[in-house]
Amino acid sequence: METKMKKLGRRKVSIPDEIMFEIFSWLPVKSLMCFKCVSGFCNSLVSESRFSDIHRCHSMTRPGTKLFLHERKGFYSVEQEKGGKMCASLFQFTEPTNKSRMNCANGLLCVWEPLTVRSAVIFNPGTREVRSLPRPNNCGNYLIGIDESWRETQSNFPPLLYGKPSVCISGVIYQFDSAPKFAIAAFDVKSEKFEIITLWNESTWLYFYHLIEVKGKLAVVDYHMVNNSFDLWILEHSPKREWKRHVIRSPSKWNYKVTGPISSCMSRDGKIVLIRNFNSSILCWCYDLIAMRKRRRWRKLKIKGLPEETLIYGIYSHVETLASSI
Amino acid sequence: MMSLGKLITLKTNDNEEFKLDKTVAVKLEIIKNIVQDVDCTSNVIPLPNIDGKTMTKVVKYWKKHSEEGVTEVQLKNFDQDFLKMSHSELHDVHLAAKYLDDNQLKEVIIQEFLDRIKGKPIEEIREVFGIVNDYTPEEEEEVRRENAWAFE
Repeated sequence: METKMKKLGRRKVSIPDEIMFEIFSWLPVKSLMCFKCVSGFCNSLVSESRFSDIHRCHSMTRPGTKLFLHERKGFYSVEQEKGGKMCASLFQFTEPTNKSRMNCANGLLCVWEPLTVRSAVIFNPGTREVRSLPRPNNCGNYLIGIDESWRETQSNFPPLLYGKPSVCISGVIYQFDSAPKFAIAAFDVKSEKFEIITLWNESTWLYFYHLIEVKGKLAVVDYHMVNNSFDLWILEHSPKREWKRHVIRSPSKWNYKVTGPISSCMSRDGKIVLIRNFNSSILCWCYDLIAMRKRRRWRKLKIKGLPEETLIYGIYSHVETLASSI
Repeated sequence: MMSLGKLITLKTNDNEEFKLDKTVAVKLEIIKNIVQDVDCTSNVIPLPNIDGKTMTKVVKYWKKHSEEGVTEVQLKNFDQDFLKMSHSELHDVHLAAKYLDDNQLKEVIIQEFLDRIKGKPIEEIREVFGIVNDYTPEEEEEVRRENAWAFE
């Protein structure tokens, strides 16, 4: 790397590479894609893994809520514009069908269709890089990949129940499992080992449950409403592993007549975001979990730029990344 | 807390001397360490990596930001004025802040750089960082084509 920098880093004024490195690491991915054209040095800087690691850390701390929507006819990234308005923009990296499933981890999206011959696609909305995954030999899930090579895992993943997305926290993938009973299956990507985490009760209301991450911990939001409130269950680890219940009041203008599934996620800046489909449009709220307890309340979110007849299948938190594999 | 004007002298690589109130100077990690190590009040602390012109700016920044009763608006105006310098001067101050381990000043300067390059054409970014374009016209054309969407 040293020699590469010397060779490519000719400057008029001597500006140390570290300063460039530092400044660039704070820039959004789109700007970096432009800056690749500045010089060969800039291009190689942006491609370095050390750089993309630091850049990702900085992306995590950038203010603003970034989301990704799986809509019936397309995939949308939703970003806060100046003035706080949420604005959606369409990404056409693969043709969604009514069978498409989507999941999101570390700023990369994966779209696949269970039981069809189309291969799964991984997409980075920041760099617009698209990768197709090899077809697995059997129906068990694969998805262990280091850069160029992919292989199937030894153990089979449980299928995603009701298409509910899994959550990835420090290298462990969590998702709901229904056999032999309702629970959460945890898959450690490094050791390729499975573990079953039991829920707080023998509930059969899994349909209303959503997995999210709260400050590095696994949590479940239960949108089955009782007395105008939801439950947020956080899995605590110390002193012992147990589910702790937190009650959250429902949004004040919640329309009880609206039925159908809720899509929900935890945004990177600490807000629970939930979306419901209603009369070919959407209702969207967010709840700031990081705010002071007194200030915590549901706020309605308006998202511009979605098609007139909208049907949302899923909502995901989005972090910018330069990487093209997880 | 009065330190009765204990002064510390900082000496740059071009032999310019800056006398600073100890309470201002020890806010900086690196100077605090040197002061503790040597326990010197009369001695001079050498700054081999910083020249007088840059240090003048840094000291000006420190003095304003440690002024008693200074309001946030005043600081904001001061910063705005302070940052009106050439790209290379800004680089020098950033280097000095880095050497002195002054995170606040470092952040202010990085933000200024970000503001200077935000949404600017490639040519201007080369100007800000003083980068020589080492692409051949064909190479540049190719990279531009690959990333054309980012210029929209």
